[in-house]
Amino acid sequence: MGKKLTVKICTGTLCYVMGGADLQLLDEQLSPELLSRVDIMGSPCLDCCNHDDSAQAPFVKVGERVVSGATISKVIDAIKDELSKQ
Amino acid sequence: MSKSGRFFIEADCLQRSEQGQKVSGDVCLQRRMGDRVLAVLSDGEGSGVRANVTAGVIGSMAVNYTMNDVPAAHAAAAIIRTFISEHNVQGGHATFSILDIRENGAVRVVEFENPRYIVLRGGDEYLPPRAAVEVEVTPSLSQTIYVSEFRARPEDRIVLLSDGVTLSGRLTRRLPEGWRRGGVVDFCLTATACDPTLSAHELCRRVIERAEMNDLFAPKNDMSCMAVYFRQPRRILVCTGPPFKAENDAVLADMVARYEGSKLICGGTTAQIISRELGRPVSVVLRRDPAALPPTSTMEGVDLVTEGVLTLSKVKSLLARAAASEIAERGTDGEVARLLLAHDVIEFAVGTRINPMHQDPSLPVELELRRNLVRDLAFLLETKFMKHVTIRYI
Ligand code: FES
Repeated sequence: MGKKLTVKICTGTLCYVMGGADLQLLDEQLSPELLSRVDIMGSPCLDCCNHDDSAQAPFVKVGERVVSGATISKVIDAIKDELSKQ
Repeated sequence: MSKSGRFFIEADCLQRSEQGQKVSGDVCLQRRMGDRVLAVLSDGEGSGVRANVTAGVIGSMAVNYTMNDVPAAHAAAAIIRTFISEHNVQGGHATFSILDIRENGAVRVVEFENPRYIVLRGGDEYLPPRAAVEVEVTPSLSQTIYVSEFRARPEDRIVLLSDGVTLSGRLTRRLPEGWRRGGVVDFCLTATACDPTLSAHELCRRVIERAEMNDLFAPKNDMSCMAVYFRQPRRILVCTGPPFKAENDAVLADMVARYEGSKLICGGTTAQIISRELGRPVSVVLRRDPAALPPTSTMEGVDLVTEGVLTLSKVKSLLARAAASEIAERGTDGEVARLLLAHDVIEFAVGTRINPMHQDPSLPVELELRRNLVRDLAFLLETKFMKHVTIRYI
């Protein structure tokens, strides 16, 4: 197994009000198998909200990939996808 | 001492009402005006609402006369004439103490029948000389007020009490004659000897708690304690918001790096900017906040890092509804409020760059504008909590 995959959940203002509050419970939603392969961290702001593109908050960074309009299931899919590439 | 070479004057008070009474018949008022702090402790006749109203009127008369530089004896005479007549002079009647303090340390005290004020200096009690002044209430009735003036020294503390405190414990086996003024003096001297930087706030709390205990936790009288502490100012820098121009990012970071005092960062982007400029990582403490606010973070050399506008907005409403400077809330809003109130000088550095996304009308909650929030907070901290507040926009 390679090194752990970093998952950064944005806890900044915009992401928080757009639903990011619930993403903090991500670790409770992951299977033990997935949980053992990721490092879940928070970020005060991923800086995605400062760029006026069409992507939507909340943002989560899975490895180098930015998940926009993030929900728990979107993030889990992204984690699986990234892990499969390792 | 503060920048101007003067004292910082911390003033606080705490009250308990007589058991069974919803409001206290004592009133404590504090006003900060320019370089001057006024504090009045008045004790209305009796207890309950009626006494509270009397004490409140006395308090505002005292403040207004003093603010308008009416000589102390005249002001006292006017108050006494309003509330004392031949028929109530025998029994209990309204009493008051007025403290008029300048930031250069000049103190004047006018007292009418409250327990004599206490000055703690260098581990002992200091008794400033008092002049007795006769005040003619009616041609056949005069009353005595006491006027004293002295120069405060750094670390001096002044304590004002209502008689509910000095009489506490009376008729109990332990204190048949009550706690008495001397008992309070000894208690305060011991408390400040154990903790030389004990705040005025904490001193009031300890005195009142002991007085309540003396009365076996059922206060027989309204109790008030007011304390003033001439101390080195405790300073905090509050950074919130990204600078308007990116080239000022370094200026903001530099302020944080050089600041002598506590530091608070409110804002995710702000924290990222400072983290990047100073090369100090910021790490989020992922946990559920009791106030449902975004989690806080830690950064080396910074006391607390929080999210910005949501947090500040909750802090504002918490401070607006707080009845006293005791904050019990366990969420991040409580944590920030306690941190702010533990300081005398609060310096805001407000970045004015606006995130256009915050103004999107389709957001599920309305985000307040940071500048307005800080302005409201500053106003509250200045007027309600007697802090020195500065705001710098970057
Ligand atoms: S608040 Fe989430 S990216 Fe800025």
